[in-house]
Amino acid sequence: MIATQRRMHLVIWILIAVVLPVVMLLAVKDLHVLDTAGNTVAEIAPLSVSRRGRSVTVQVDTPLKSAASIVYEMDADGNKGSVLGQLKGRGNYTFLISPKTKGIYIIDAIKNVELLKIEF
Amino acid sequence: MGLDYKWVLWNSHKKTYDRGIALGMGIYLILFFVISFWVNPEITAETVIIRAFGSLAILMLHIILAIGPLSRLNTNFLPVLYNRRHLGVSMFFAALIHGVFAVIQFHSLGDVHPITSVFTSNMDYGSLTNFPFQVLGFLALLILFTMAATSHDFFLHNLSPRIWKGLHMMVYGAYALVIMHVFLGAFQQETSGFTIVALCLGFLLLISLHLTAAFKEARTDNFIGEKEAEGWLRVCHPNEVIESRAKIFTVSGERVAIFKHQGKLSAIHNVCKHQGGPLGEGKIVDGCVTCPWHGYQYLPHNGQSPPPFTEKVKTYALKIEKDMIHIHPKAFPEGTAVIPLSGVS
Repeated sequence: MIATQRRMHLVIWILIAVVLPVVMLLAVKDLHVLDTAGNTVAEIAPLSVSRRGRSVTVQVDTPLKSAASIVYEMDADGNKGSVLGQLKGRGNYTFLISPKTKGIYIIDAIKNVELLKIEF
Repeated sequence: MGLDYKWVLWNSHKKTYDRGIALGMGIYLILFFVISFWVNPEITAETVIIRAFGSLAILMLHIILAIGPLSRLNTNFLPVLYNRRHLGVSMFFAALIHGVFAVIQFHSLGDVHPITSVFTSNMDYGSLTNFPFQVLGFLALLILFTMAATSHDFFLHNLSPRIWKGLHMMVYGAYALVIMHVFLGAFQQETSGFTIVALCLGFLLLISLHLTAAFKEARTDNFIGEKEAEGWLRVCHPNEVIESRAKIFTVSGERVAIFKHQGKLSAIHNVCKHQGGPLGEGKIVDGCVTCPWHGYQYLPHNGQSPPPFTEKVKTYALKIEKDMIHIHPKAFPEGTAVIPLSGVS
């Protein structure tokens, strides 16, 4: 390499060494990645839930960020029960539930975090 | 070296190198597939393809970027540098497969064009945290495509080595885009810390290697010898130059290699006309200075490639006074013959 290219290499790598870590830190500073208390429940999903008799309807108004949102029924003890179905995009989703169902959980199956928990 | 246009100037070294690339890529992909399906049997083939080829491309990009400084720090790595362009083109194809499958998987089922979807599915351009990381990967892929498409010597000769090298330094921009693509993607869509840790370790390794090599080079650049009458620079004792090898000095801001061949000294510009390789780190083979990067050759006394090749480098005047080699910093025009300095041991 000629001298100009060597100098340019040095400048580029100093810039990369300084700029990239700063951008990375700025990108994650609001995520509280070390705050374990906040990791179990994700932000409230943009949806509404209504129950009518033995069916429950989940209305999704805007696309969910979660790629795999699975709806589970909440059993009589308040634990996660059987799978009711999956939310795939905008729309109304109606699921049949048993009389003993106390509510529903919506879980991000990939990240394994709870998106929403609703008791009727 | 080649006289006429050929798709690839194959030789046994290149074939061995390329077999190594194919074998390494194959082993990595097989291991990735086996481990992925073993750990998570429910994973889809498309997802594994996206992850396998994406991670392979990043790994290869790190290896490619590490080869340059490693070769400058330790000449044992020079054989890996020899066919780095084929490694780069292979890396581009791995990245392309990752990109194509990602676009098919995540952007082809909507009511807008898949490429439009890459840029519009997430419009959070104002946020650093939620910035659409796919766009960064797409731009990096465009740069890698430009580099792969112009990697052939045809473009090197027609664009000139300086412009070609400048064009291919865009790889650092691609690297920055790839780092942010993976970093943001990992935080937005993954929960495993492994990706982040591996990425940061790779980043630290590359930064350390490049800065160490650059500062080492800067020390060589800063050595300017001792100025004497009429501008001559006193550089070293003749015995410090080993037979068939060179010692490199910085003269008027550029590097000059002083070679010893059959006991006689000659000085030529240190930069190979092919890709800017350091001629002074090569050796004399069959009477010719041979570039350590790709084997381009020059006659030590006139800086010309042996006929029928036409490459030429600058030459310099040498003299010995008080048992020390002196070099005149004003270079002769490229290919000018200078009588080798005899009478040295």
